[in-house]
Amino acid sequence: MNPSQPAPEEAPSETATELVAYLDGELDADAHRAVEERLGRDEAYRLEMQHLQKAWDLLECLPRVTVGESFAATTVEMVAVNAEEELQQQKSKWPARRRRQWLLGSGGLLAAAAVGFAAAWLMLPNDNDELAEDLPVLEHLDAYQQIGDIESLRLIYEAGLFPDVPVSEAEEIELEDDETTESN
Amino acid sequence: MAISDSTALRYTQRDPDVRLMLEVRDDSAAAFEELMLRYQNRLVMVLTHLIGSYDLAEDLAQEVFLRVYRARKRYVPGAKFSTWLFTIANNVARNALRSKSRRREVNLVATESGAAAANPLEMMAQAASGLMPARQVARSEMQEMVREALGVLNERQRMAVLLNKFEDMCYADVAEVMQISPQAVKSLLARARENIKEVIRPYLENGERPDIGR
Repeated sequence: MNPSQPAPEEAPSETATELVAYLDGELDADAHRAVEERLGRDEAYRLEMQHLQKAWDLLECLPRVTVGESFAATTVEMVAVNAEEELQQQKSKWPARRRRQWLLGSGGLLAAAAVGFAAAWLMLPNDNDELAEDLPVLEHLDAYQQIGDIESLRLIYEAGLFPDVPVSEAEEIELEDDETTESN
Repeated sequence: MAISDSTALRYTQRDPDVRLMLEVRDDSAAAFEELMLRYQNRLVMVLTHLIGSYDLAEDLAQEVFLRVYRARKRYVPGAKFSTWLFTIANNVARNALRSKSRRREVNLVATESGAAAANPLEMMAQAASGLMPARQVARSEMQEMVREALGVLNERQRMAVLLNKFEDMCYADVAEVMQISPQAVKSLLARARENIKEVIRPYLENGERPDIGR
């Protein structure tokens, strides 16, 4: 027989199932009462119960086992050896685990720093951007300051005296001027 | 299966051995030794009658205690301590019986050719067959008859009988140890007791020794 796949048990008789459960005190109140009632009137049933009970009582004569004194000592020794091995295993694993923890911690810290830097880069205004935007004006700032007002600048531009200023920039200057006039 | 806090608390309050095991979980060597002293004879007895070899039963009992120690950190009281301990013992014994049956297949020729029978049940069969001195047979005749009766049971029936008889376990506890339903335990025990009764029927009816192994 293969112990991992026990063969199907031969079913016990209904009488044995009932009587054994009765003797073991495992019947509910109704079933218990029914068995007692039948025991009172059925002699064969009563004899079967007595045989089951006697056979069960005979198991008491099986020899009791008392282990030798060395059993506990040997077992404790085995456990102590096992505990020592456990400790050694933990110790051998410890540096690797610590190293892994350190790497994970450092990696996390670096990632957090990178995310913070990127957020600051995107969200805070950049002075260089403003300077780049104003570059066409800054390049001619001295000339503009000498002229004094926008009207004069327009006249000079229309006269073709600013040939190096692209038309688009000149139009922007015009538009800005118009917006300023309207808002006033 | 997860064990609820209320279940763990209930068993902790009711069962002093569960409390000892919780001390073992906290690395108390004294608690472990106390538990071992409380259970060593009971465990070796059940294993001896289950396996049929005292020496092997002792080895297996040590294996059981070692497993208890190794499992200490994961221990959560979900049953009486004895139920938990015998569940481990049942698993260890089943593994041993499995490898023993494999070995028996391999060593069949050697055993048949006259090697000493290591199994007490086999020795009893020899005794019953008249190969041992008559006075030895007479001295332990009753014990032998009962052991022979136990020997006709299959492994599962025997385990159920031993737990029910010698550990006073109810069907529910036996079911938990053997990882089967209480209904299956009821059926196993009924069949086992019927078998035992049939084997010793000559003794029960006429006081005669049964003729198993003769």
